[in-house]
Amino acid sequence: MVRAVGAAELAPTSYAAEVRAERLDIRAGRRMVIKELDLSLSTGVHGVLGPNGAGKTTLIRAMATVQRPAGGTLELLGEAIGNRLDLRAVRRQLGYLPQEFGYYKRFTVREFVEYLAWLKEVPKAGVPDAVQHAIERVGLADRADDRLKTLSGGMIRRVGIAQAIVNDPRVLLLDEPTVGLDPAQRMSFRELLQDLGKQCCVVVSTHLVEDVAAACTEVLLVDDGRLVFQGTPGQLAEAGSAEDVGDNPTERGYTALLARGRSW
Amino acid sequence: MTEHISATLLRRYAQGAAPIETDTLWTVEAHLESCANCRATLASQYAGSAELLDGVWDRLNSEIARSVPAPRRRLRFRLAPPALLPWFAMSALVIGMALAADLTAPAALGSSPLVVLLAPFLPVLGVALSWSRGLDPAHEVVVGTPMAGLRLVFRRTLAVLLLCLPLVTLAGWLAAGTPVLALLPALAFTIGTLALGSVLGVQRAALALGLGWLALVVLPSIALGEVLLVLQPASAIGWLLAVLGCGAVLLARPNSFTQLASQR
Repeated sequence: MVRAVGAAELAPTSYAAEVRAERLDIRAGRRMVIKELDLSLSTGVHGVLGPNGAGKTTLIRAMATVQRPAGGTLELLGEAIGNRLDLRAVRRQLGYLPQEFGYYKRFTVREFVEYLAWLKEVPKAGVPDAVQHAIERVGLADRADDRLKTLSGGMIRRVGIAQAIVNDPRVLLLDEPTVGLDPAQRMSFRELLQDLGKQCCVVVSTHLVEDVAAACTEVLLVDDGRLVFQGTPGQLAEAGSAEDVGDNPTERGYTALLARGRSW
Repeated sequence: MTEHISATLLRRYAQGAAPIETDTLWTVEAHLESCANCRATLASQYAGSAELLDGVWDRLNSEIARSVPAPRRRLRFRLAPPALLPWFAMSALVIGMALAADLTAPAALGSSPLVVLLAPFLPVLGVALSWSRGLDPAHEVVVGTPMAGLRLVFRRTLAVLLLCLPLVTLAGWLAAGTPVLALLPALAFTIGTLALGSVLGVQRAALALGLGWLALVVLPSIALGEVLLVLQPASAIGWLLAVLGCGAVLLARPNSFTQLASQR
């Protein structure tokens, strides 16, 4: 079957990287959580690793245009956000799963994803197909017409992923997507991630080192609001030595880089 | 390149015995999809194709007959978030009880009817419920969508007004003898919440206006035991001006509610 390719997909892009940050500062409350962070992310799966409180969620919220940076520049799809007033064009290309994913209990899976598709201005004629496709991709087709309050925690997480991908985003931001997923689900989620990463820029924050090693093309290590390391999962593994704490090479690399970053 | 598929190739394709290279196969199928001529040749020349096609159609038809048509989509939530359902029930209950009190013991407090004193609280609470982080469970996902902003706030406020105003107006009419005494302050406070909310945030604006009404109107009315000037029919024109003024403020700030919060 020949797939129809839309004009938007063929249009040349005017930016080098989907997400670009330069000397980015982000404040949460009174605390400066992200400090002078430089970043450039293009198509692929980027895993953001770091200890709790390192600023992963704050960084993702800023990329999701939910939080305003306090300083520096943040560009999404070539557009500098921050003081920009009209965010609609950029937001149409975004998918976002927050860490605390709130939902309407009385909605069915389909209704909820449809509602988000409408909020994301998916063209009306394409909504049913886009919704069905998103639900199938997260493996919830058999529960599509069940109410959200009847679903388990892992399934809710998958609904969150479905609503994030329903508009075929160019930038997909997933904050701790694997929380509550059982091992089999995590495996299929990694496959989905790799699949998504072929077409768009996926940013996944996680504290699970093994998720990153398995599914990401690139690892970003954030500690105390700064970017400590950016490289492939292989390079992360090489950074560790036998003396470092951890059960596998990736974990040892992670602890080694964190320790090194802190001693500076 | 010839325009149509050669007879040899078509025969090989129909018989399916000799394997055709994948790229040639794609070309053949893509051509067949768009060329009625070659389809007709294929169908007419090869015996058995008619029976085969009939079989396919039979199966397809029976499958279509068996499938359940997609349920009609529920559109009502596009106007109002589901968080409003309990609010509406509560509003109806409160206004009903106030009306019952007013009708059984008219002017028990020696002041304005309870319905008139309570009227502005209900829509203000409704607006706060439909656009604030703490009260709308999906707020974090919703604010990052292109629909977010004044358009969505207006829609949700409209839903609040459609649900609440008839109730308040009718009750006010029964209790105070004129519909405007409950209607106009309620309307003014709703629009005022949005106007003030475009600066302070809706939740804070609702709180400020609610407390203001309580301190400046409700408590003095009860303490003094008389009908305050602002609640007399003569001040209707003042309330009308307040509605128009707040509306003008909102229209002058078309980008409010899309600007990013600097912090959580």
